[in-house]
Amino acid sequence: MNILSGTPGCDGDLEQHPLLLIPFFRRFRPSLARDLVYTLIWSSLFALALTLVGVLFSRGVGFLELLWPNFVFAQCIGFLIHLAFALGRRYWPGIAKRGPVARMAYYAGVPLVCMFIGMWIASGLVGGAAVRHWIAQPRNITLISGVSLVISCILLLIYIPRERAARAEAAVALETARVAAAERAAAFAQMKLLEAQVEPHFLYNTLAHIDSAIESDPAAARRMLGRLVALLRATAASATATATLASQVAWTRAYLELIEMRMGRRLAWTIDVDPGLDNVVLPPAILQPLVENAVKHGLEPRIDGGAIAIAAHREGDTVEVSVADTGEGFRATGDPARSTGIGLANLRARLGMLYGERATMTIADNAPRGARVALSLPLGAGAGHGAKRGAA
Amino acid sequence: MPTAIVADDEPRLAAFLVERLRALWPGLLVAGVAANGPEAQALIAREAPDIAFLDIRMPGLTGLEVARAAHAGVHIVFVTAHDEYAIDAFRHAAVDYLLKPVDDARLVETIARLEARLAASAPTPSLEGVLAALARHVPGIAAPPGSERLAWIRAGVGDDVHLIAVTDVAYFQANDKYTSVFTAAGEALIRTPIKEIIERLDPQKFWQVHRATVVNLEHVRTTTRDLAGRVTLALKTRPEKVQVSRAYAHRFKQM
Repeated sequence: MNILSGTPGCDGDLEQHPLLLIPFFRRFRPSLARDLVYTLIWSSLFALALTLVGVLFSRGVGFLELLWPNFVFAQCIGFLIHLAFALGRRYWPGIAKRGPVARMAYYAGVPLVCMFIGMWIASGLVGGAAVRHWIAQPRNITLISGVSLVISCILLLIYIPRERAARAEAAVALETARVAAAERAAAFAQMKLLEAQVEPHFLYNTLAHIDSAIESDPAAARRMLGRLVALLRATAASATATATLASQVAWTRAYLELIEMRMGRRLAWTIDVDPGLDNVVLPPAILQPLVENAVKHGLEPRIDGGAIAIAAHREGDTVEVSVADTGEGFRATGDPARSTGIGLANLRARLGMLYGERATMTIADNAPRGARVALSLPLGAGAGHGAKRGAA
Repeated sequence: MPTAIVADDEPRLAAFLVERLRALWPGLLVAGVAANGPEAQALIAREAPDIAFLDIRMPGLTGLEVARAAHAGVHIVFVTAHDEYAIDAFRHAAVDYLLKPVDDARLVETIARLEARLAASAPTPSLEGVLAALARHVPGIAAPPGSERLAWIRAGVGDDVHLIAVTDVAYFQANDKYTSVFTAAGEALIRTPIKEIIERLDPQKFWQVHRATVVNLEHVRTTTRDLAGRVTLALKTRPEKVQVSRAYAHRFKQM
């Protein structure tokens, strides 16, 4: 930013051009040209005011006669102050950090000095030696200094409370943002913790099966143990931020193979995934809650069990993932029981956070009975970004 | 000779428990094994056992439902792999329970307790309190009848029937004899008239704001009252605003 133009004016910035106190002047884009024009206007206003005062107090002097010299003086002083503050910003930026007394001395002193220098320069252009003589008189020096200080005081009185308010607002906003970020981080950490767990009831049940088979059917016990190990490894893998569709399908397979050992003929399952989709990156644990739901709330409660079908296909630039079961459907009334600890609502919220409106989740009745949950997720950049944010 | 039945939908686990009981309580006669809730109920009715080992999660009827329906003379021992709320409730009510995988040491303790109670002809511990507490927490247990609140709405979309969770609905609006259902995802039409919907919604969460409109309070962002006293609701999940008619504006007065 050009040193001659002010720092972007926020309310209460003492470096701000005084004209910016008036809302109308805030409309224009900050730039060097704008600030120079503003100085011109500001100085002209002073000239006008001084001329009016002069006309009122000394009769016989024409308005226009007085206006021209006042104009020249005002512009000299005004641009000198502008230049002085600009140089101060460039070569003495530390002033903004000093204590209140130092800053008040700076903001009152610089215009004061500029006033005298400006008047001296202006008198060289207009009025000549007579004016210089007038200025040099002690009474007038005091008068001029007094006027300058009064103006500075008025401006400071306006600026300082605004600056304080702005700083307070900024502090509150920062704190609010920090709290929000912390809350989000905590919620996210908790979600990741949940995602990485194997559901305890399922785990203990599986261990009970292994335990019961150790003596009566050791081969079966070993097979089950092997599948449980596969499931635990798959759980860890699919809970990472860069989980691919393939890893989540691997988890699903390990899970269903274990359930099959327990439910026997009560469970039938199919997995139908487009071969090209193996390396698609998905948010962690997308399939897991849907499959667990289907088994726990859909198939297990039915005496004759049912079938579960998992599918993933590419349609244009989206991935369509669906989990359908022929078990208990959703009952219209009662507790929305078809949800795991993480829950369908949670999954929907996660998808919303990661993809906004680009992802959809639809729950529908399956035929002849049961439920079907279908997800539509954007391929490519969207999925990748979602995973990256998940890792943060 | 005391008799018992075992119910578990996983035959291997039922067989294992039977085998452990035979080993640790030779005096016990296992009269039968059930593979699901209804079978367990029938078995208890037929055999009138002294003890029933019931798995909690069974298809058809849960172990808790079977226990509730069983007559008072049966000592119930619940069997569960893991269920935080249930275990807490059992412990407080001094109800017998076993954790899977079944541990011999704990089984021996439970057997000793049961033998003592049977010998003393002590009454079976009351399950009412436990069952009531659990009905609130454990999913899959039948809710006490009469509290049938609407949880899912079925709306036709093309050839499919989509399910909308009632918690996702921002508001319902009457549309002739049908009702429009507005969620963050869009609008759906269902064939149920709004009067029937209102009856089945939780009155704490859903307020009627107009002859034709019912709003989900959890989706309301702000309420604004204009100078004429008209109240308008801004929603979190829908761009449009909902007008509250004068007849219902009083409910928003204290906000």
